[in-house]
Amino acid sequence: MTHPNLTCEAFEAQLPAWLEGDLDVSATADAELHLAACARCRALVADLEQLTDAAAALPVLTPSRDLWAGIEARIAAPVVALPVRPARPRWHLGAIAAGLVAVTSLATWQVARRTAPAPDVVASAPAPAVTAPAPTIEAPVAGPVATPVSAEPRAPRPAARVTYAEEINKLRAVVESRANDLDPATVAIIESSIATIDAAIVEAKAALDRDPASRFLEDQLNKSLERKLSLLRKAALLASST
Amino acid sequence: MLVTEPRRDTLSTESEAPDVALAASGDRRAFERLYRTHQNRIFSVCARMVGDRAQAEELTQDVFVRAWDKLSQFRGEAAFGTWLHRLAVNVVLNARKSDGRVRSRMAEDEEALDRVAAPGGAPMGTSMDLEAAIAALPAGARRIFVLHDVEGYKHEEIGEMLSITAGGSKAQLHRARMLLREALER
Repeated sequence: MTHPNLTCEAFEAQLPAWLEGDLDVSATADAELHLAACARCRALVADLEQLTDAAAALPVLTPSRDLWAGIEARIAAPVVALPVRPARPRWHLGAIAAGLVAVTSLATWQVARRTAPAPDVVASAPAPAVTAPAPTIEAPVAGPVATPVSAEPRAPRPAARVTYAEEINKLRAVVESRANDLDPATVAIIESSIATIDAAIVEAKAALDRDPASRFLEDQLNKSLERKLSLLRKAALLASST
Repeated sequence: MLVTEPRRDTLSTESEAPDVALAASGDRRAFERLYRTHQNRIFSVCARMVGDRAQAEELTQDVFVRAWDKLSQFRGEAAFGTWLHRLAVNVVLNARKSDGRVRSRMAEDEEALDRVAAPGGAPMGTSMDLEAAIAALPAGARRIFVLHDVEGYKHEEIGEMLSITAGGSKAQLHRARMLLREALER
């Protein structure tokens, strides 16, 4: 449709700037001339004005429950500085790592011969060996994992992460051992998903470092770990040649 | 042209200054009164920015815990409600750095895996009211729409919060409005 000075397409291209008042006088006049002549574009502008009015008039929302009790419990809790945890003897870490490696290294080796290295390292932990599954950051069982000592009482987290890590490592070994039975496209999806989740874990940890008191972020980290477990379980149960 | 009223400027009253001072000195009852005054506004901005009420409840708690921790830094240059609102936006944005950025790709991957395991139909679109349509916007467009059209922040402020240009904020806002118009017309 054509109207004096502007086509509808040209008007729509200028619409964001016109709505923001960013057009110069001449362009504004052209836009308004077009609007005066074009019912279709007038309807579009009217819709957007109605939408903006409705957005500004949205009512305040109310939580489904009283959140104060949870807030009070958190602000009332004394912040107790944890003593700096003495470093575990290196032989101890090595023994735990060796146990995991012993369980998983054969399966990993079989897969490692024919697939690219799995993106299992999600932080600064270096891969200890080519044939061993690299520990995830949530597994403070091997390598110099850079987990800062928190000044807040969050003791359950490291233990939970060890549990997550152990299960993740076992499942990952199962999945890797089945890589040959699965369709390469499926394997690619699994690896892509794991990389994405690992990125989420890293992001959650970084955000938690910035805001250590956040339950939301803590939950996000746990959800990411759960998501990784769930994905690996799902992958482990996929039918052959899927 | 469209003008949005800056809602957040009405978020505070001078009468709460004593409670702010008491809370800053550790008075939890005074802080509870501040919470009661502002909880719905803070919950609203959290809920609309993340598009999920359960998450918003967690985030609202985080906002008030954070506010309690930082109250000693509140100098009164802005109204308490404005300061609190800005804090809420920061908490939500910090949370999305850990979650939102990877959420869509993760969902895509998981859906792809689900299709492999058990092929099924795609979810059907339905007509939605404005609140639901906002929640269904892509995360980036939703945040900017909520901050600008619902909460009244200026593009320059949004650009600063999101580390984008004011022009980028304007473009995303227009995209969000057009998507909403389309969704509401269904």
